[in-house]
Amino acid sequence: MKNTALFLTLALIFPLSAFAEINPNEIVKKADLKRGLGNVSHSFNVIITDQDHRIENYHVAFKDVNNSLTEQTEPERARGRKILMHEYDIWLFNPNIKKPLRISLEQKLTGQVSNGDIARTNYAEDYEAKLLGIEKQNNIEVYHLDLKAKNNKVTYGKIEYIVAKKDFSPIEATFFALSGKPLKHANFSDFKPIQGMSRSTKMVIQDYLQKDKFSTMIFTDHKTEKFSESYFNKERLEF
Amino acid sequence: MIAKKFLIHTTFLMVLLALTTKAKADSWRYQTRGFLSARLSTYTEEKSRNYGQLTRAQFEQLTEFSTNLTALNQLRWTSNTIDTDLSTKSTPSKKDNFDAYLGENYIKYKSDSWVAQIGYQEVVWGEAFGFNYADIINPKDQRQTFFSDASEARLPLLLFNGKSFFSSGDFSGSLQFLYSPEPRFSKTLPIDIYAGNLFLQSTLKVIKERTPQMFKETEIGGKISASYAGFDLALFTFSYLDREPHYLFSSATLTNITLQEEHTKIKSSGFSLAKTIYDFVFRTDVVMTQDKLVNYTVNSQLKTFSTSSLNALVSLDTPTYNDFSGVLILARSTLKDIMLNSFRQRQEQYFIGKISKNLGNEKALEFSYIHEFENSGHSVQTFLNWPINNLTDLKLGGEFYFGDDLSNLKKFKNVSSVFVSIKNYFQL
Repeated sequence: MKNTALFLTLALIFPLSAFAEINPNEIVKKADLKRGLGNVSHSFNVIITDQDHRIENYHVAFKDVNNSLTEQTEPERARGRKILMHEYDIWLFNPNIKKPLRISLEQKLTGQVSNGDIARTNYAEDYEAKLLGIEKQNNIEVYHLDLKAKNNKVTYGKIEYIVAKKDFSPIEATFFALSGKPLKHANFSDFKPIQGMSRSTKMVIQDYLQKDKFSTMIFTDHKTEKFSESYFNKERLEF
Repeated sequence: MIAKKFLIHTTFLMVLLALTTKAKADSWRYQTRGFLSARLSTYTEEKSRNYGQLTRAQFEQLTEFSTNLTALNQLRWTSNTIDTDLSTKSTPSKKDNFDAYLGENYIKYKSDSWVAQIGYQEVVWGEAFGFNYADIINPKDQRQTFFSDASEARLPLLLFNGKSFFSSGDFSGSLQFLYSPEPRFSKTLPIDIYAGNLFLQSTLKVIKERTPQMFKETEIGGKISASYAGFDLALFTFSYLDREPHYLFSSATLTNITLQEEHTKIKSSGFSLAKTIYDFVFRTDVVMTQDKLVNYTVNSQLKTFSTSSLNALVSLDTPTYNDFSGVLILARSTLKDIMLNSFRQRQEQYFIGKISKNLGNEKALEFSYIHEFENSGHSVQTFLNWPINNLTDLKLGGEFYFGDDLSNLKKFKNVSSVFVSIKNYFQL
């Protein structure tokens, strides 16, 4: 009788704990923390290099998932160009035009990189995850996830996401338009200890059809930093 | 009087001088940068004056005294044979213009909730771009063609510019106050373009009005802006000396007539709005201007009448599809009153369509068409923007104006040209 009770108890506990372990949205949340500092107010720099070795530099002020300001620092012709994101609203400030202009989220920033790839990177916030399976890639067990956009305001309609089972490190992602058309593919690498956790510092984004077109994003200088509310006011961009 | 004229400049320099003598100067950060550009145009309509060149340079030093306090000093220089060609009459001979002038020169203090900026500066209102009725603050160099950057046509104005920011949850906004003690005027196109066929005399001469002495005429205005639920809305008003002149008769002979420029106080008020709708962006600017003086002629006599104008614009930016994106603009300017033989028509209405193809690496091919409804005027512009490397841009293009002789676009016929330009950026 005792054994039966123990068996039933174990049978109830183990499937539940196994299910908890593979809650797909939790996997995405943990993987997000491997690509940035999460929803903590901080700043970082991004260096984007394309297939022709052209380099662009950006400084990003990230208050939370809904407020970020990206400022271009190189090349010289584009210095001072700013992109402000507040929730799903986005404004571009160009020093020549001298006023902030509302733009749509899908507008590309440079090469294969969209505005959302820099400033709105918390997939757990914008996508509903579904676990397609646990697979083996290069002798590593990975979660194969299907991320569907929670609304049509986000950068992509769907993301196919591969995350390491062992430590939730993101490995690769394929991005699809709202129409379902595959747009680009990304690989995450160069994991380094940042603010007490191993995080990816390199993302290579490749055009899905034209494989010779790619952009490499290197993330550096992550610092926790507090910003005032008005820092993310679009009327402040011109200053 | 002279002391008064130079009061602000002197104070500005004294403040800078005082700041530069502080021991803390070692920790200041300096950035010196700028560009050099050259454009060669071949005119397609007038064989006798079939080329022109425009060279331009800008040097800029940004000084960061602290994270809150900065100063910007710009010097601009142009050498130009293109401007002088903007005339419907073939009589003016081509000559070089050289201009060296101060660009933006200001000192700025930023706190968390407000910003104050004092000095010569450019302030731009409105949501639209490319055709902006709400860009009323700074005078413009109207001799610039469609291919000049807006920043190159805008002339800095001495301003006290204060702005405070506020936000609450999803709502954010700002309140801006502007005060100018020294109005400036636009550099206008030759009067022949507007009045060439309204006088018997073959030569029109214009005596320019000089910029008023400091504090003799002042300008004041403000803007309140708010962003909420995907909307950007701004309400603004500005009381200022008309940037464009009206003309008074001065003297005349059988062959020559001399006119005197005059600028009067006008007031513009309006609103601008932008909204994202799916991947489209809708924009509108509406500006009402009161007390505007417009010239007209009666029996070759020059007169003026006072009226108000309503300028309205709607535009739609399309999403990018296969690296193509577009903008559609409908713009309309209406005068409340009109007289026979006026220097402008009662209604001017334009449709503008722009399409651009992103060729990657900031390379772009752009094509735009402007249709003028009244008197059927047309303009076609196209250019290829080809950055050679991180510091050099190459641009090839053409702009063509045609249509009915009475249309505004046809009046710019001598500007039709193909051009090549090169722009080098530097940072020291």
